[in-house]
Amino acid sequence: MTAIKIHGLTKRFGKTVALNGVDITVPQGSIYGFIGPNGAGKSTTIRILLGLLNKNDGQVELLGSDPWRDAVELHKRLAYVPSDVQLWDNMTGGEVIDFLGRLRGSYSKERRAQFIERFDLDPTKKCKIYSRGNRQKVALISAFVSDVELLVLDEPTSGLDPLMEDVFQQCVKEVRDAGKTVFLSSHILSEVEAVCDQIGVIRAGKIIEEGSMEELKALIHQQEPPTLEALFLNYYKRDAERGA
Amino acid sequence: MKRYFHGTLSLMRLYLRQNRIFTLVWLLLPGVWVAINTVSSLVLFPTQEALVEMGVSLIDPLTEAMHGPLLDISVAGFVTWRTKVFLVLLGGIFSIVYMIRHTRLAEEQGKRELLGANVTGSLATLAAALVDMVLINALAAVLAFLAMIALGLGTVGSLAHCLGFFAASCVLGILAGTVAQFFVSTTAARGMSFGLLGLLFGLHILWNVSGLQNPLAFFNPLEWPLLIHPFAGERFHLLLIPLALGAALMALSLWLMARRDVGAGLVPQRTGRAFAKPGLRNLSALAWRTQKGLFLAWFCFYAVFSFALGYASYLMVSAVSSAESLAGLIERLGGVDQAFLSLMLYVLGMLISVYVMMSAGILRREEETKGETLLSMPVRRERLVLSHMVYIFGGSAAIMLMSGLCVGLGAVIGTEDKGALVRLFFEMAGMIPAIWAIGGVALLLFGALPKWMTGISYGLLTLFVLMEILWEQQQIPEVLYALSPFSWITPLKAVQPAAAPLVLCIAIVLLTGTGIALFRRRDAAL
Repeated sequence: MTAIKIHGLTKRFGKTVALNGVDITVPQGSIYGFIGPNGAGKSTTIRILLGLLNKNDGQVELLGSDPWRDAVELHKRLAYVPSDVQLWDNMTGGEVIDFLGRLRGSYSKERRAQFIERFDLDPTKKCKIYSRGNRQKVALISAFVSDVELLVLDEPTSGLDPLMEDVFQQCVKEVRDAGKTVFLSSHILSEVEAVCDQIGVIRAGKIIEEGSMEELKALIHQQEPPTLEALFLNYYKRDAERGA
Repeated sequence: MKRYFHGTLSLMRLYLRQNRIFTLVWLLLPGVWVAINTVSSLVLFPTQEALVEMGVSLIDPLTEAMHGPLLDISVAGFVTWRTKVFLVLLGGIFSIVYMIRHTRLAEEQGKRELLGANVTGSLATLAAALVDMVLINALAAVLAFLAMIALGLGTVGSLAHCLGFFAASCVLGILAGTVAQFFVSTTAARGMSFGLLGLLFGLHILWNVSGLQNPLAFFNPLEWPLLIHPFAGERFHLLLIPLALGAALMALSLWLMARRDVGAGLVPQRTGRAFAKPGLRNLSALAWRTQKGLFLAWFCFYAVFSFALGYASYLMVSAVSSAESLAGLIERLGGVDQAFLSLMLYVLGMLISVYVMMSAGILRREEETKGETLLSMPVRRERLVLSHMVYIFGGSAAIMLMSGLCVGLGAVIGTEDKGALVRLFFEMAGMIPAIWAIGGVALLLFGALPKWMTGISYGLLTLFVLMEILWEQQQIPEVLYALSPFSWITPLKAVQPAAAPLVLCIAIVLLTGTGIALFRRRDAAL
């Protein structure tokens, strides 16, 4: 079973081509790491998956449906954390978590209390005075609290401290162990390495590598350390050589 | 000094490079406005006799309430009298927006931290904004001055006129810079600044209507261009008041800024509830949270102001009943006591379109900043629009009905005219379709050109108001004027076609429907 199937996806903004034939397959019950440099098209891909943007060309299937046409039905089955979390200034973190939970429909008080404690959030503060990391915690808690089949996370940990990063990785693994799917876009390669089963690398609007962690590591030269970072740096080296 | 103001010049250059179209409009509009008025006056009144004869007939009760007494019957005197309030409002609004943008908004967006962490003095951001604001106002005043001289209006009077609105605009800008130190949120700081401007404007009208010389008028920036007496024995020493007031406020704002942390205000932030109330569970409840501040502020202001207006209307009645030249106009509007209030209500009603656009602006901001979060929830896009339409349409209607009720009650108490309540209430209610049409335009833009929505919708409103003025002066044809929603409800026309409300309603439905349909089809949360 596949949770996400994308084939030949193209998206243009005016004359700029943001996505140029993206192909992605995300198996159900896995954690899929979506990595790539800034401006490669990660967020655009995610926004198309959420039905916020309409595609220009290609096929997109999310949990068996069309994300643009069946957006409302699909959104009952997924939770999303944007990369730049903006919240309502005059609401507290607790209010936002309650509101988003009720709006999505799958929500329990016990899970709420549990995740607020794990992420160590003060729910009585107004969103206005939360730091970036704390705003991300609010969005993460409201995503983990909900009982959904798919989590779509766009660079969800860029503002979190190492302790919270650890909590986050545990939570993601628990979600996967419960048979759910996680689509995780990230810059933090160590995080991707620690939790992801499948990885896709996007660059300049195209997927340049896709496979399991083992498959990708096999691509790295023998003399280099077997990390994603080495793989990533290799791409840049290859680019530089091609340029020269 | 270096500790406080280092880097001010670099910041000034940085600010001047931003929002260039905004600055350009701010610079040119006063001069252009004065020039348009001068040319049209020269055309309308070729001779002194024509001026005396026709000029007086153009002074209707509303104009009098707005502009105060005409000091000098000449083209120059007429132009300075006609343009001064608009120039102060224009300069004041631009200055307020500018000051809030470079103080509180920059702080809220984290720009001040970015700049403050650089090699800049602790007060440099505020100082640079203040000096830039004064400089832009000065240049705008110089351009207006040159325009007036070029059109042959006389040097000394023109200088007094331009200095008058320059001083007023600057002090209003400095006031906004001071207000910005108190509030943590941009919305609160901007709301408070515009609220103060509204209050000063209300006092201005009240004093004009009552015809009394109030000593407090010397401290109201809106009065300065009149009190300086351009073309009527200029009193340049009056400028000492704005100078002292401006310097004091400027010192206060810098003093306050030096005494608080970055991002903090002088009004402290409180913590809130850990759990949401049970009612906060759908988009309607959320829309109330985001729209209630704006709505309640307008609702209360209109209720109080309308009551005061209705109550004070008898003062105006006695003031204009003797003016023979107004007979025609007064008759058209249903007698002297009704004429003044009808015109006043018309302007009050038109101003509610600003609320409609601010309310639609909240919808756009919600989509822009929280669209990703909201639209990835199981909610239909049109539901998001509908939840805000309650305020764009329902809210504006509630404000108008309340205003009609209060002005009527005020008039009943003030003049003991029992019929006033019903008459004024329905007069205000009759304007609702035109205001809704403005809401329809805003929603169409929301669907079609979201990134340009604010600019175009305020531009269109300005255009509609200009069309109003030009039509009154018979400079544009009826057909063109019909494009403005206000033309279908204006009390200045003796009769309106019976189908006017129907025409407006069809336009509202078409505009709104198209806007929503386009929003459903376009890329969201951009």
